[in-house]
Amino acid sequence: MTVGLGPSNASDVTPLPPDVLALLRGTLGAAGLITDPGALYVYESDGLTAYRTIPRAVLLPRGTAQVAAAIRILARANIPFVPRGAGTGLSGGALALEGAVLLSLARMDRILSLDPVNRTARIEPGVVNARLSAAAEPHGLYYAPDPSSQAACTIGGNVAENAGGPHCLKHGVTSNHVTGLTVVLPDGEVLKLGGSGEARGYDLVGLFVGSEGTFGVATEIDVKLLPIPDAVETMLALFEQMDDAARAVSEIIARGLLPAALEIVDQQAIIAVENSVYAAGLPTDVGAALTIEFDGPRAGLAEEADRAREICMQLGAREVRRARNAEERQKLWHARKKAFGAMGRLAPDILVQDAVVPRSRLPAVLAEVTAIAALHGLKLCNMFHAGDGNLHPTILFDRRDNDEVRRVEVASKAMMRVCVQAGGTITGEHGIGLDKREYMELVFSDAEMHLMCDVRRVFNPRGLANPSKVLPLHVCREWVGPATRRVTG
Amino acid sequence: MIRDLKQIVGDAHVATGDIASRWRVMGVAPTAVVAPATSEQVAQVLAFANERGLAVEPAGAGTYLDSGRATERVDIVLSAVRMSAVAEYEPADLTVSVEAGCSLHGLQSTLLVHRQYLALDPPGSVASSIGAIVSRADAGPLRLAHGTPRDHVLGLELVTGDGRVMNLGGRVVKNVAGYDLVKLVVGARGTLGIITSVNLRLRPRADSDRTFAVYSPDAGPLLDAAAAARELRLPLDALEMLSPTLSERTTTHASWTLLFRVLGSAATTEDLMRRAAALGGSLAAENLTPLAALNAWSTLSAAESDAPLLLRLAARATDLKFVLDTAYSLCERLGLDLRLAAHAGDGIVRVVAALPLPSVDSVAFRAAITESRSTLEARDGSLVVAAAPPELARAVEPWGAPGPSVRVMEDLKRAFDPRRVMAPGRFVV
Repeated sequence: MTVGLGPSNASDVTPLPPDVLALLRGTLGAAGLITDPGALYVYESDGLTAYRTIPRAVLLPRGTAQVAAAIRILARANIPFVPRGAGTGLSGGALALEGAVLLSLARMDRILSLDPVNRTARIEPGVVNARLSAAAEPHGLYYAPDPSSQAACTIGGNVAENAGGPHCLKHGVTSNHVTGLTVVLPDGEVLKLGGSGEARGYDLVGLFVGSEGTFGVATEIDVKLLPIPDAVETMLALFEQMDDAARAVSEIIARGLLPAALEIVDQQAIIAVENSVYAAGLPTDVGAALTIEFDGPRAGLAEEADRAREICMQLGAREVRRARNAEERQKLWHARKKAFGAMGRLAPDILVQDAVVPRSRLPAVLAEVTAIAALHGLKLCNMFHAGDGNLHPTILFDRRDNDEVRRVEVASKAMMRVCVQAGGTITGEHGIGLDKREYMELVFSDAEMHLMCDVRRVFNPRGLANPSKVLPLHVCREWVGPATRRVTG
Repeated sequence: MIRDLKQIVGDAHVATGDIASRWRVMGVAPTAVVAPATSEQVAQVLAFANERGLAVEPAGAGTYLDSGRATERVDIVLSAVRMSAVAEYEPADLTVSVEAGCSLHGLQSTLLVHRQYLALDPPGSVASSIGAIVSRADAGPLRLAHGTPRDHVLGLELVTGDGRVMNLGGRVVKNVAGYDLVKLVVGARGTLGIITSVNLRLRPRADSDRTFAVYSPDAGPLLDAAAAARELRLPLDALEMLSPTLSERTTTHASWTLLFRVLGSAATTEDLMRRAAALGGSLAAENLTPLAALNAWSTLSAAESDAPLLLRLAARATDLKFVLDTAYSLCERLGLDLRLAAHAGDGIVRVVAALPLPSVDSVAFRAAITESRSTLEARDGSLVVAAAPPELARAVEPWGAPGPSVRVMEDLKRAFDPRRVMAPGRFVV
């Protein structure tokens, strides 16, 4: 599945024109620009390693002014750019296509201000997700969205993808926590969106979050911080059958409980974890493990956990383990949080899919997804945000086997179709990027995609920001919308 | 025009003359009021208006036609009154799909059967339609814990100003497929198109819903208590402060009042009530009975939605005293009774005027609003004229200037509504 998208050898890269290089070097300094072919290999892919291409150059600006200056230089030369955080994305969104340069925000990692009383922070996009929570912790606060890659991924990347995480069941995704942005548009204009006080126009912050770098670059981000809950109750319920675990999730929600997280891993994932350094002492003969976490005021929390435990037992759980302290809690979470990393032991390559279905359809959809993998002779693992109905079917394969690669692609598309037909969608948190452009037609009509083209053109009329992402290529090429026609009344 | 509209929606659902004149938009009567039954009919009406260059004002029950900027022109008021079904409700998913004309009250009644609810309590919630609430991004005291409509809307169907039917977002609680155009439509006040249905995220109804009131002759001790609640990080669902005149109507106590509301299990709310009580110190305080609490919250909501003049002043949560002071001086200057309500945890103060209004001329009104607004904006705040009699409303900008991003907003409006059919001039673009 290595797709030929651009140069795969540094020697094939078309260097930037000397005048552009000189201007960029003048703006960013020698240390702010990477053109050495060997060093560029590092940037050939993001977390979805099936797609690789080497960028022409990597820019490492510091501060909004440098970003704007660099983008203006590129815009004058008609050279596109791709914003990049830590490169942990899973949709090929940070790949430099169409002769683009990478604009790395890695050096913009300052926490500009943190207001513990109003519970807000203003940060640069390169701040690593977990670092913000660490900085807020002494004030009894934390940043809620917690993607599994939170130890590495940046908030800028989270904003681009509208990232989620296990705890968004109760606390919401990135867009629920971002209140203001300073952005640089693809022509170099600096614009402030949102901010304090009540809205004075359209919700441009909400629109910009999740735009995957195709509207421009966020250079300063205002976020809300939440109080660290007084108490946390974490449990792990072990089920003989995946189906029972999925039904337990629906039942917990239906009975009016609102856990902070409801996460499932299947037997394959448990085996992988138990064979790794993160072994949590789980039996490897169970069909599924359901992690349940409640957070909030201490009073009443244990009682809620008891109710959830009862539901699990009624639905046939073999046992429900309850963490008695922070250490045990962490161990219970290993089964979920380290499962993806532990997969690496099982096959040379893994493809993690991302789709969402209504919670009540989980058991049926899981059965269908499993059947699809079996039909195509593929090894499948499941670990997912069950409370949100957010599936991550993970296919194990070997990319040197061309026939297997072909079957992975066919099966992936079939799984997406099943999820959409169940009333769901094709991505809950990884984004469309490059990987899912062609799946957009499963959920959106031409008219809807044309409207998205028009909206993108408002920010990015020349296609210079993260070209060829999010929308199927033919859609925008064919469409000349009302915004472009500039119809007069 | 009337004949064409009747052909689309049926003779019985186009009103003109006297009936139409009751649907005035900021004092301007439309030529016709139409009530389509389906989104296809809405699309046909808008395509027709687009072709003829007519202006269309969206409405539900017609509650909010006197709010916003003065209209540039209005030919048709399009009411969603015939589109009011709860279309799809799957309790196990905690989501619902509802037509735009459904009232919040009607929706909540349906959800109550399954012990669920939509965690929004905007002013006037009994009559307001879901379409209007989403379109205006209206929220009430519960915003402290549950946010505003942008946090509850998972997807919606929109008919754009030129009559294209768009399904934006989805029905699932997590969705990052394509651009989040839903966020753009929520709070756009009908300037991009007509919302015909909305998919919403629901919450389980709590076993226990308690309200605790603390009374004080002065605002000061209550401001301290509100700050202390914040400091202690009490997980409250609402924290509302009322001035004596408004409190007299809502709680029958003619004193400054701080209302703590908590939802949760019996054990959780019991504990929080105790901690809230400790904050009141020696001040008079009481646990409201369920009836008294219901009365307080619904009376407050009604007072706000019925107010002939409603101003919203905001700054950071920690600037609450400053915002209140600004509200005092604004009331004094305009000769208004001090009828104030504050979302004390969010730094938002509402001036909730009642009839009869003192006679204020529009020039003085404009000067007072402009001055208070710049005072607030200097502290990163805002002032919104949420409702005003037409002659005063016409004298001011309801929201203040959106700044340089207004150019982007204008271009976005053009992508949805190229010929400015939808509510022209009624919002910032």
